[in-house]
Amino acid sequence: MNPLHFGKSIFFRWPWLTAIMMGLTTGLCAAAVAGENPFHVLLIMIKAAVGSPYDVGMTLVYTTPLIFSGLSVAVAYRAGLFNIGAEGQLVVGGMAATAVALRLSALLPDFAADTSFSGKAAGMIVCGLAAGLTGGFIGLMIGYLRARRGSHEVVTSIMMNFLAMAFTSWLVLEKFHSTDTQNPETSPVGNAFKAINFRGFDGAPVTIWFVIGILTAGLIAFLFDRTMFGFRLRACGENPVAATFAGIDTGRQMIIAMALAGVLAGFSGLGDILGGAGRFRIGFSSDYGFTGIAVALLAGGRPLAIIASALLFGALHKGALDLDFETDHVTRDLAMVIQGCVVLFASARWFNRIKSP
Amino acid sequence: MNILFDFEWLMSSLRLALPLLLAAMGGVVCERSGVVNIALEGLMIIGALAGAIVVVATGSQPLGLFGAMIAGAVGATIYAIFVIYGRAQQVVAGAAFNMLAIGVAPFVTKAIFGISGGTPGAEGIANNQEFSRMLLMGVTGFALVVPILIWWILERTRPGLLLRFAGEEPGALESAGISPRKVRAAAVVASGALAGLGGATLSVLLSSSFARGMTGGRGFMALAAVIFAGWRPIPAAIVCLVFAGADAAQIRLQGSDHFVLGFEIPVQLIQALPYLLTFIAIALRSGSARVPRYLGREA
Repeated sequence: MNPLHFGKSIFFRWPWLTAIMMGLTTGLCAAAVAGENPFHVLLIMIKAAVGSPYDVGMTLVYTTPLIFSGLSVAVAYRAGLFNIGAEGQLVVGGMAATAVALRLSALLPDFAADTSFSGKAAGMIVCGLAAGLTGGFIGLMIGYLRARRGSHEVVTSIMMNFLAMAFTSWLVLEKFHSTDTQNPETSPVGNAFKAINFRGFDGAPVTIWFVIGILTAGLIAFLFDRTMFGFRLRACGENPVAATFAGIDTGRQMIIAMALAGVLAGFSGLGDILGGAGRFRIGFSSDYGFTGIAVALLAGGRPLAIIASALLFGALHKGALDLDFETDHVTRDLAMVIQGCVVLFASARWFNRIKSP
Repeated sequence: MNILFDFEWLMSSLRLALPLLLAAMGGVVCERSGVVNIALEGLMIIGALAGAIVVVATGSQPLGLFGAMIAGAVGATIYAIFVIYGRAQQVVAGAAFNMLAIGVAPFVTKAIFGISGGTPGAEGIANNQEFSRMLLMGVTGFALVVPILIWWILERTRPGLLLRFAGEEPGALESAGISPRKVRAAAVVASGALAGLGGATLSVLLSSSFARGMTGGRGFMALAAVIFAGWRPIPAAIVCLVFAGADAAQIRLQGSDHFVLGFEIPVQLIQALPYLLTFIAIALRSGSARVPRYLGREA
């Protein structure tokens, strides 16, 4: 076979692979321009991402929120909506979980101190409900405004992001501020509410929420491909006019999709908050909500591919952290450059002859 | 209240409106041609960065502003290549572009100045306060004229007509032998220059260096203003001015404690006031805006 032809066929068959390669190449070229050996940079990043059990663990820690936020963006996108508000939803969801856990810790000290499996499971369900309901409520509001009042969801979500930041920082500083430190964070939640951690990662707080994320991705995949609900969502996203004529209430689908997207985004921060210190810290999310857009797009909106995509971006994030002190000329921001390039190349359809979702 | 809304307040509103207004005008031009521009934020970052670098290199503020326009236009060209010729999903590509800009800014400052937090302050400007003030007034005047100019171009000239066709009915342009893609590309590049200038007002006129996170979501606010104003330049400018006015009032209110019916109003609520008002205004407004028909669709 002609090697050129072979290369071409790979380009077209796996556009996501092309996007990753081109994004990585662009980023490393930028590093080379800045005066670093690109292979050295790549090696540092790979070592920092998967070099030791602890590094693998931290990569999974960063992957966890991205699975949820990626799923959130994908669900909204399925219905033709763009959830740029995952950031706000995950912050408010995380805050709600922390607030409920703190109040319950104060009210029921016995329950909060219960570290048996059943106690932890109950704590997890309580936190999950709080986060899912508040995130879902925000999504519902945005979906309702879009479907029934015609307000553009991008604009309302952006406003919601700003409002979420202001609201949570007020709650943290004025209502739940930690008594033992001056940092902008809450007091630690009771032990029952701390997420179950996996051992074997040398102390990296990989929590049960990572597993829940994978299971959720499976559930969403089932919803998308095997249920009427998934079909209606897609109909509404791909051709709202046809969907309306087929008797589907597109507004209703939009509201449901946005609410579900909000629920998923609400879960996004829980692994971080309940896993390590058990505190809500202002600014704990390093743009998980926005990176979710990248995760969902690279996966083409397919829930199971989102797991792989989130792993890639998690590894990229963890890998770039070491660049700060291992190199002289580039910083962790290289991760953002590579991410941006990967998504740009993935969104363009030069190599993709298949109709995108 | 008389103390709150005085001449001083008006001037600080105008200053705060400057970056928002210019970026919003870029947004109008771009979106009317049918290209969604979430990338405004990233273009502002690029403009702010380039402006600060040029000022450090040359010591001249006007050159800094000019350099920012060029940089914004170049950045927008990249965006246009992906969105128009790569047929990328526009919102996604815009979000990716923002990510890229956020990552590139510290990368560039690290490569040039050895620090990733921003650019060093430019010394020359402090000696020339009078000129800075004149320049700020000049640019403010320009920013207030731009919406009218854009309205005139869009509604009264042939290029404006072509631009609107690219957004409403690109097929008609095609039939007339004009490439809607080229029209759109021109619009995107022009919007990049405007957004870049808007970003540079932050780093060149309103302060003297670039700092990480400097734009603080103003690109998104500008986009919100454009959509809220129904993609019309003059209403969009008014929305920006009102928002900046609320922002200026917010900054002044922060200085003291405020009580309503015996409850203390938290400072975060005051800070969030402009966003809260925008959200309520959007929620109460019925969705009758005239969306460009081919907005977000391929030409």
